[in-house]
Amino acid sequence: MKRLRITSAFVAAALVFAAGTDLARADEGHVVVASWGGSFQDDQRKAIFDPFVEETGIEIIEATGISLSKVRAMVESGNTEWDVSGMVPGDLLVLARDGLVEKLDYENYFKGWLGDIVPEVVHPYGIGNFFYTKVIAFNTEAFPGPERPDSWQDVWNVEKFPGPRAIDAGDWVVPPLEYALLADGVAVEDLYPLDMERAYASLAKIRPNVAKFTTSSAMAPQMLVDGEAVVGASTLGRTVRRKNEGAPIDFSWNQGLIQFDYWIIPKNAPNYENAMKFIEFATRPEIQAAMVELQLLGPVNLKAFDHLSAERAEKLPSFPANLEKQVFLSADFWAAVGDDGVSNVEKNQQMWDRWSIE
Amino acid sequence: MQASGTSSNGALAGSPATAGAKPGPSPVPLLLAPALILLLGVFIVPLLGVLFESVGRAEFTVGHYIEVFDNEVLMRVLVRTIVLSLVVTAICLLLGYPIAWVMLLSSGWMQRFIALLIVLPLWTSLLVRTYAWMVILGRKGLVNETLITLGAIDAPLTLLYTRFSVYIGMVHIMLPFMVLPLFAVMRRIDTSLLSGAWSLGANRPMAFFFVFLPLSMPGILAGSLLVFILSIGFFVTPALLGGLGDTTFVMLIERQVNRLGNWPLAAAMSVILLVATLVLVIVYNRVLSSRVDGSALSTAVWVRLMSLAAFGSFLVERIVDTLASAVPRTLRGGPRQRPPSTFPFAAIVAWATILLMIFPIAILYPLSFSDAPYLQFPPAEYSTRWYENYFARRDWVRPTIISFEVGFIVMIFGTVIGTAAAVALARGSFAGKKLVLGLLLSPIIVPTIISAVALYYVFATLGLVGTRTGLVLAHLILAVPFVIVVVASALERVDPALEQAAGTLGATRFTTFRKVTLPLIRPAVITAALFAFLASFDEVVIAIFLSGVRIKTLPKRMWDGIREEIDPTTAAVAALLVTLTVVLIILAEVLRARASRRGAAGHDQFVK
Repeated sequence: MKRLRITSAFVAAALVFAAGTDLARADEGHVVVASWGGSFQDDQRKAIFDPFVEETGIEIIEATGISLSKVRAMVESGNTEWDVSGMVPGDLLVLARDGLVEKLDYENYFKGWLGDIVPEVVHPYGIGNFFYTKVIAFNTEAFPGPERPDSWQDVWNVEKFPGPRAIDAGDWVVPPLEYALLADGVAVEDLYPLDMERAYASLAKIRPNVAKFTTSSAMAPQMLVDGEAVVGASTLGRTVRRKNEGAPIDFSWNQGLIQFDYWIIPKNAPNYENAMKFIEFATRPEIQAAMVELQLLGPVNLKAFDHLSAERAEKLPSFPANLEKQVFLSADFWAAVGDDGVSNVEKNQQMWDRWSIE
Repeated sequence: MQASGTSSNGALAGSPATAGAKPGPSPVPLLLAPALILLLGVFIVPLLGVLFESVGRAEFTVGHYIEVFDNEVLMRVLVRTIVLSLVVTAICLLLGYPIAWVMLLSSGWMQRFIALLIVLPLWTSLLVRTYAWMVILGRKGLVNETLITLGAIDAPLTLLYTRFSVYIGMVHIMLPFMVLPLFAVMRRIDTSLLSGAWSLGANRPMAFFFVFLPLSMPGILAGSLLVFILSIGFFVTPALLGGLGDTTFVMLIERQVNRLGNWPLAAAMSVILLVATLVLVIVYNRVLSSRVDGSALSTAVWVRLMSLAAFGSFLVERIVDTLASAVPRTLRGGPRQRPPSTFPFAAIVAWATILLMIFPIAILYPLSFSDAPYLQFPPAEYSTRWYENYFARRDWVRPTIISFEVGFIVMIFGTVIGTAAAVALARGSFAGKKLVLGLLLSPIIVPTIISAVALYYVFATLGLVGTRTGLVLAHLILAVPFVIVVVASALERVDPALEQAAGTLGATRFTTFRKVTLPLIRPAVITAALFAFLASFDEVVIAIFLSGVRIKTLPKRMWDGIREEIDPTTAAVAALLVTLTVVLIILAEVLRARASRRGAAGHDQFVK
């Protein structure tokens, strides 16, 4: 009899539990922020998320796995979970065209200091987060020097630099087409508009040597450190972070693909106001400076340099001496729509789908 | 898909009414209702929803099917998936047969020991096992490091993210589903036939090929079918271990849903996969089962459940019993004569394979204590930093808590609902019992990803995606079949005369159940509860679809972690999960032993 009572108590408890737990989130004091994962997000947590929570009391719920298609799927299925997301410029332009993002309320949230932000990254539907760069990174045990991979042609040259590669997947945020064309001998000034067919032909040449086409920014540095790949495309910030930890990894400034990402608010985000508060907070000069101290990124808020030492500033990807070695990614090319009404972002997705299963 | 019972589940498949002596309204509808309502709401209706979506919700159209068939990419991947599954099935058969054979030849404790080694991997998380292979096959992984140390190779081989690693990972996971049905059939073969053949002048290979092999055919068919069906709907391992060229059809379905949001196409693809599987199964069944006793399909369905649930617990029960010497061995079936000789080559293959199955799980422990910030084996220095990282990170701890919460609720409800249904099926007599049983067990055979797509579709409109309620409901569908099978096979062993006697003495049906039946089947109920918990706790495919940013289970967090950053925190979590599974099994055994002892007074006489 006693046992039966215990069982009934369990069942009752479980019922209450099941019914109660989903109601517990009734307070709306949170904001769901999707970012790029790994050590980048670890640093964001320290420099941006935790200070934000402390100042506003708004809880941050982190998500990862950003992509254009993820936001599209979310909005179109009526199940928008993210309040704020990072987004690369080409993808933002497509999202804005299709009405899948909310307009940012600059008037109420950036009172008087929008002018501190680099004007090129202020868009009605998104505001710049950071300038970052994808560099040629390599495992220093595989290539101790003096010959080190220094151009995309080197990355494609498996005789000179043997071993597996880590290259971005074409259906992830920034397709590897710029690299592929540079590797194929296209000059930097002739890069745009991209010859997409030629880029895929060039990719096919390196494909047998690609260990894994990466689908997150964390993957490439991890593979390079693990020895799963010996050379590849990796974001500067994460690469240098691993290097500073003592991992056998280094990079070349040459032909780095510099670009920036936006903060955006997906359509019908459940916590728009908190999302705006977060975006405003993340763009403040002292917050941008704090993040840049941890990861090598270029602040979009020029006032951030007031909080940075000259020593730190010259390591950043947006520092003039570094900038001139790199290539600027053209978001306009990626968002451009052809005669058939299909943008290059979407055209690439189809090309990648076909190419990838060959 | 309909499953029906076979001779091996006599009590379920239309046994005579035995407990109907007591007058009054039949409790059968009441007992079956919860399970059937759950099945209808969380399985059948969502699947019908997928069917409707695939032919156009507003207006009937076959356009989405034409789109799939016209898409060269999709068709090639479908063919590739079928070929991949066939190869995996063939490898499993080639490796599994020697194992079953060696098990058959082994004596008492050795047989149970091998069985434990085969079954243990089944209980450890699928993700953990797949992750372990990533560690072993990597360029700085164990295989390459060993070969380099031995001087066999100069530069590491590329083993990971290849078709080769997909085969290894899949065979590792599918092998038990081949070995267990093979063994189940083999042990019913009268091996004196072999000795007979020898005495009549046949040599050993001849006797084996002409006498034993044909007799083991039902096991071969059931095992192959089971492995093939499971392989074709398999998602996790190819996704993690494969390269670009190893994309499978279910991975494309996931992509359509999660990345592209193309519902109608995903629905049409799901229906095509389901129908393709069904057709292959039926053809296979027709062509081959005419030659053997019983249908391969029903045997396969039954064995899938038996191997996961009843068979596994049965073996552990025996092992623990033997160790404790508490209960005398009661092997079911008649005394068996061991064949007097063996093939040494088969034994070598069998033991090598068995070691390979256990090895990846064992390797996680040293790896998780590595001090390096990346995967390295053997680790140069040891530390607990990855465990500390796990416990310090709320993005790891929170999913862990949610997994326990969901698993606990699934355990409670799943055990109650499943036990009620098992009682109705084992003791009730009603028309269409086979159909009801088949329906209740069908969620186990339908590829999980299709159930997941269907549920995502329905739950998204109900606002249940990313809620505990949604995860609990979905996991219940997977947990209840295990409970039904485990409890029903225990009920089969309880003499109904005991219940009739209680009824004659004036006890109500409920009192009889509580005072007579339940104490007798309590060990099975405890096992069933454990399986219900693990079915939820280890589940990853449904969790990938139904998790939200706030409500996310541990397997889903591991999935994200493995895909995005292969840091050793995952190894620490994996090692903890294996430990948890082992602890749970021991706990269940202790509880079961205590329950058996309590009922020991007359228990043994009453159990047939």
